[in-house]
Order: sequence, then structure tokens, then C-alpha cells
Amino acid sequence: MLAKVKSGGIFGIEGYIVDVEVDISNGLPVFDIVGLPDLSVRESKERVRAAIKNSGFEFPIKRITVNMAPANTKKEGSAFDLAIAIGILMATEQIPRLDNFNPLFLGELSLDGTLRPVKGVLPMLLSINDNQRDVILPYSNVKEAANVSGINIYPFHTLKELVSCLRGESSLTAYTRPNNTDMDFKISFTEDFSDVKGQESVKRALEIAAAGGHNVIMIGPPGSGKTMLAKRIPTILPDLTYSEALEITKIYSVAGLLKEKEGIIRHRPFISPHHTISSSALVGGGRIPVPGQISLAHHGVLFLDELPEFKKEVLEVLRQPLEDGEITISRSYGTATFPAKFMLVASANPCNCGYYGSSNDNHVCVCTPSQIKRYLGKISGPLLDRFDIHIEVPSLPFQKLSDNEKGESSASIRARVNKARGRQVKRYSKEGIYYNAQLSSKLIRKYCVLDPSAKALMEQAFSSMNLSARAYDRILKVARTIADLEGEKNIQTHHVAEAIQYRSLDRQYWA
Amino acid sequence: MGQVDERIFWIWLSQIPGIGSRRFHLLIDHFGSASQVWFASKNEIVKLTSFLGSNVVNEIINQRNDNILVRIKRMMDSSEFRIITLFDDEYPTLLKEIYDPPPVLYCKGLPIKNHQPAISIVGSRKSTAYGRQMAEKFSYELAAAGVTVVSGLARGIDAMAHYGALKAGGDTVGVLGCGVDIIYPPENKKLFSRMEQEGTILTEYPPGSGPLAGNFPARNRIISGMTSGVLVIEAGQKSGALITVDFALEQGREVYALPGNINVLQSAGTNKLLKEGAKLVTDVQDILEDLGLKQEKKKKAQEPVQLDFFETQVYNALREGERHLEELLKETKMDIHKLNAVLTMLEIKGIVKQMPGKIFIRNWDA
Repeated sequence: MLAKVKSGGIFGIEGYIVDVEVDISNGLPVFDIVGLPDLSVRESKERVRAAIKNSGFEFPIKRITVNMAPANTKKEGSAFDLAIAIGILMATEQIPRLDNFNPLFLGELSLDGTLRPVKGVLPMLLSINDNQRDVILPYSNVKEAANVSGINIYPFHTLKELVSCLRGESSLTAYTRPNNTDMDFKISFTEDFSDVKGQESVKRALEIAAAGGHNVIMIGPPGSGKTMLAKRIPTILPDLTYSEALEITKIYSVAGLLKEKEGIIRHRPFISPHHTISSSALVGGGRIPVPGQISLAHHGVLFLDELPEFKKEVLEVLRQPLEDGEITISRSYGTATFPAKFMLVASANPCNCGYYGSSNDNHVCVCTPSQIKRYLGKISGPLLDRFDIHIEVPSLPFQKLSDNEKGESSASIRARVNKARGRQVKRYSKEGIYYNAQLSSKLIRKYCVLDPSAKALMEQAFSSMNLSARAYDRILKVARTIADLEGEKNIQTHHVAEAIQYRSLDRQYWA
Repeated sequence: MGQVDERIFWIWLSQIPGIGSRRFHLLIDHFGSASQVWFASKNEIVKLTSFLGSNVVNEIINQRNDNILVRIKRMMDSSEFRIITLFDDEYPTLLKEIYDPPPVLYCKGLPIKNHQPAISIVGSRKSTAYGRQMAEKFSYELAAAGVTVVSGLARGIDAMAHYGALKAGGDTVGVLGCGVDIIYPPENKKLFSRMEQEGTILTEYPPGSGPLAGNFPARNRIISGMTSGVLVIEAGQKSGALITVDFALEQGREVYALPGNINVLQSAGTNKLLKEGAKLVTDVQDILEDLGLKQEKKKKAQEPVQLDFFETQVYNALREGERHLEELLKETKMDIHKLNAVLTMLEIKGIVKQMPGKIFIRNWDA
């Protein structure tokens, strides 16, 4: 007896349909799975056997062969359990053959027949073709699947429930999506910029960075609040759009990090890996490529605390994704591309002891000039070049911390950021980019035109302030964002003048 | 025997490893001249073993080799640098008077002006913003008054002292602890090339000598030795600048010191010097009067810098010294974006300087 059901596999963040064929014939009782299954798929034999038995059905003591087509793609994961179990039940005629109803079966089985959630449901459903309109999946995945429109979702808790529906003992009803398709992304954050006392200069710089999507490096002594400030950056980033949210959710779904009740990720991620991280954990990797931390930070913030402490080779692998907004990982199983468009925020102490340039009288820098030079010198020039904005974070004296006045709230900063970002999206609608940080040098010549007085200022600044030449384009981009925050069409002298202040590391005293 | 010949043997003897300026002068006293060391019989030199040690004696014997003289001759003809011996007119007059003057100096750049008074400016390599500013200021003013400023071409105070003198278009001499062909510390590369054009670089070490730690104290005796006084800008408890002061006292030179904040490590040394009787300097005139010079009237023909309302406000907020950006923000009550723009303008106009850590300070010469 032969039965055929459909299931889905995932590679990278793309899904594909897998045909699961089950053949049962007489002979010695054997249970074989062919079609390049990996260990997790081969183990499903035991789960399927127990789940069928414990759901009150009969497991055939015959020769069972399961084939998963296309047979040349390697399969992994536990999502095929359900399809195999249904195939066996169909081949043994415990379930009637379904005419005109050929749904996709997704789900992991537990030994008692309960359906457990699987990874990658959203990307799988997004990439399946149009003639696949019905999906049967575990109840825990329903919210995630509901993001995909135009398909009928049939969620189930157990194998038994499902079988009784397929036998026609109870009626099969599709999941009705909640009515609020227009999702509310203005969710509240636990952190807020109003918690930060003082540090007005840093907040201003972060506002500019958020508005233009600029990468930021914060330099300051220990305890000055670099981490605290960085954690609040997502609260002032522009509101997430639905398509951005979907992209983020896809990655989290593949990584198995999507929470059951979430369904869709509603806030920009803030990812802060420890400095001992390996390069494949950072950019993604593994035998079968899985997304790394930079992809989990897609459309959000990747915060590298204590940047010089990271291993050099780990930092170097960041350069290509920073440029391309995605990362391609090639392994023996194949090549996967994960999106990785993130805002890089880094923090660093100014020197080994951490107090170089600190105005705090209690701590004096004890490093030698060559030590100071060496410390930030650990970060390679090409990587340092990717930071448009350099912020020096001062440590504030105690009375400032105990000051009772509240800072500006994240919501009002975000309102300005949203406006500025809106102007950029509109301006670049024909260029295929969205914000100023993405401007290539060709586009800078086009969109960051300086009037003669601003140009003169730039020239004076370069000759009198020891700025390095590579700062030129960065200053233009940041000045463009400052002008956008002000709502000005053209970059003016004072925009350039302010932008120059965000290039601390180009000053000679750091070099 | 001609003067030229004596010169080549003189240089030959000075380059023999193990023979410093003290031993050099003792050998000259013993043999009469450098050429006589070359021509002395082996026995005569071996007799000195008890005094020089066998290693040095062997070196002298081995180095009595015509190839070495050829090499020295080539060095004397080099266009890269010139060699000044104790007999030459360019040899700093004051330096001849010290106990162990270097027999040979290797030199690059402009000729040393011996008729002009000279002052050395020294201080820690690890300096404060204040120290670097003061080094530049005093050096500028001394050089403008016609004083040669001598320092050690090191990081920090030394570098700023040279920059100050160069800025004034005056004379400045940098004394190295390595060969003239070696740039140490490497970050002073720019300063080195300017010094070769607009100043003078000097060393007692032959080309190719590395910057060994032991060379630097010996270098300090030249710095103090070729000047009539040493101005200490900033020095920690154990700063190398204090070694220069010891030499200065030994050589009978004047010691000047700049008073500093008692809480700052870099002022501990200078304040101690003041307690011990160094001359307190708050104005360049304090040094110039000892040299019988008058300060150049600061009649700069340049136009006064024009400041707008906001710039004046920020500039005034800096009247009491350095201020952090956040402090300026509180004091001026400006918006941060306005303040940032104004500070850039003030920096470009050259009247305010930014220090690491977003600290702003008025420029001394504004």
C-alpha cells in the first residue's frame, strides 16, 4: 500500500515542499527512511511509532519505507513527524484517502501523540507556491502562521484529534484570524531615555544615529553608562513597518526563538553578544547554516560592548555584512543567505585602564601613550571606517546623577526620528535605499551638496583640526541627517559644523 | 699630520663600542690624540686592560682596520647628515664646558646658532592638556624672543616645545637618544621631517644606533649642557625630566619650573623642584630677564577674531579654564546641536581647542 502526503522543509530562510511517500509491504518488520534524512529525521521513527500506538491506533508490523522527495536535498528537523505518521495511517487505511484535500502537514510528535511546535513555519508558508492553500499544524504555531494571508490553517493539539477530523468523525474548520490585521506596533518599552540623567550630547548623537541609521561607536570610561545608553537605542528607532516585522519574524522562526504567544516580532531587536563570541556564532554557520547574531539583529541594533576585547578575526567578518546588509554562508549542505541589516553600536574604553581623557578627579589614566595608541589600534581601520558617528561618553559626577530633573522621553525623540526617516525614504524612493547611512559615495555627490560657505567651512576644518581625509564622506552623511532632523532641504553650514563634532577618533590626539 | 686626518681618527675612536665620552677623553689624555691611539703599538693598548677591560681593548685592536676608516670617510661625505666634532665651530659652545662633552655630534637640519642664548624645555611624556599648552606657549615666546629652544623630540611636552618654536619661526634643536636616521617615537614622524627642514636634529650616537633605554639619560646631559637653563613644564615623581635637572645642577645651569595643581600627578615633580629652590616661572619674562633679553612686543598685525553672539557666550564660559561639553551646555543653556556647531566654529577660528574626552579649553595664543 502506498500513501503520499505533503510536508515542508527549510533551508536558510527559504522553505520548500517535501513529498512524503510511505510504502507498506509484507516482509520482515523494518522501518526505513530514505531521501537524505539527518539524525533528527531518522529519530522520528521512534516518535512516530510511539505516538501512533499511544493515540490508540495500530502500528503495522510490516516493512515500512518512507521516501522524502526531492531525494537529493538533505532534510533536517522534526517537522516531518506528523506527515510520516499520517502517511503510515493512510497506507494502512486507518484514515481514508483524501480527495481534493491535500494539505501540508507540519508538526513534531511527542510520544503520547501531542503535536509540538516546529521551527520555520512562517518562512516555509511564505515561500510555498500558490496551489498549496491548506496547512495542518500544531496549535502553538498558529499565531505565527496567521501572518500569511490567503491560506487555510487547521491547527490541532493532538494526533488523535486530527485523525478523527480526517476520518470525518468531527468537522474540519479553518482557523479564523483575529480581526486586527492592522497591527499595533507602538508598543511600550521597559527602558526609556528619560531615565538617563544628563548626557545631553550623547543623546543628541544617538538621535542623529537613529534617524540616519548610522553606525555608532561610544567611547568612555567604565561606569559612564555606555551600555545603559545603548540599550535605549531601540526605543528611539523609527517605528517598525509590517514588512520589516515579517522579515525579523522569519529569522526568529528559523532560529526557533519565536515565542508561542508572539506570532510576530513587534519591536526592533537589540542583540548584545559577549566578546568571547566566535565568528560563526556572530555571522551564522553550522553544518546546516543557521542565522547568527547579526541576522537576529536584522532591522535592529547589534551592540558590541567593549569592542577592542572582541577577537580580531571575529570583528573582521563583520565588514562584508555591514556593507551588503546580508550574509552568505556556504557549507557542505549548501549555501544560505540570511539578511543582516543592522545598526552597529559599539562601546569601548578609551585605553587599557579606561580613564584616558576622563575629567573625573578620582580616576587618573595610568596608561603610557603607546598603550593608549595600541588599545584602540586593535580595531582595524576598515572596521573603524564603518562608524559614521563617534561619541565620547563622559562619566558624570554624583550630583548630576542624583539630579531630579527628567530627561526627554524616548517617545518624543522617536517622533522626530520618524519624521526625519520619512523624509529620507521619500527622497531615496528611486535609489533603492532607505536612509542616509546607506548612501554610496556616488549618491553622496548627488544628495549631499554643500553650498559655498559650508564647503569653505569643511576645508577650514580639515586644515585646522587635523581631521583625516576618510572623515569627509562620513561628515557629509551625518550632516545630511542633521538637516533631515531639522526638516531642511539643503545642508547648511551649521549642520556641517555640528557633524564635525562627531568625529572624535579622527582627531590627531587619538591617533 | 693634517687636521683632516686627525678628524677621521677622532670619529673612529668615538664610534668604538664600549668607549663613551668619559673613556674617550681619558684615552685622548693618555695618548695625546686619536690618531695616536690608531698608531700605538698593540702592547701599549693591551697595557690598558686593567682600566678598560679586555673586551674594549680587543675592540680597539680589532677596529684598527682600514675598512672601517673607509666607512667613516663615506659617512663624513654623506649628504644625509653632517658630523660635528669638538673642534668644529658649530659645536655648541656651552656643551664644550661640561665634564664629558660628546666628542662627536651627528646633525641634520639648520646650523646651530652658537651666538644665540638657548633654553631647554623638558617634561613628562605623559602630560596633561595644560602642560602641553604651556610647553607650546613658553617655547613659542622664547623662540620669538630669539632664544634657541632645545628639547628631546619625545612624546608629550618635548614635542609641543618643538612645535611651539617652529610655530614662532624660531630656532629649535632636538636631541635624540638614537641615530639621526632613526625616528623614535614613530608617531613623531611629522615633527621629525619638520625639524629637519626648519630646526636641527642632533645626537651623539652614530647612525644606526637604536633607541636603547640607557641612551636617554645620557642624551639629557646634552639637552641641559648646551643651554643656559632648563625649564621643567611638568614632571611626575620619577620623570626623566628630573634626570635632566640633575645634570643641569651638576653643570651649573639654571633650573626653572612651572607651578602646577597639587592634585595632579604630573605636577608633583615640578612643585618639588620649586620647594627645593628652582626659579618659579609664570611668565616668559622670568626667563628672559636672566638672559638679558626682552619679550617681543606681541604686536600681531592679524585682525582680531570676529565672534558672533553665541560664540562669545561659549568663549566667555571658558574663561576659568577647561570645561566639559556637558558643563558648557548647562552654563550657556544652549541647545546641544547649536552648541556643537558653535564649538566647531570656535575650533576653526583657532581660539578654542578640544581635548580628548570632549573637554574644551581656550587656546593660549588667542
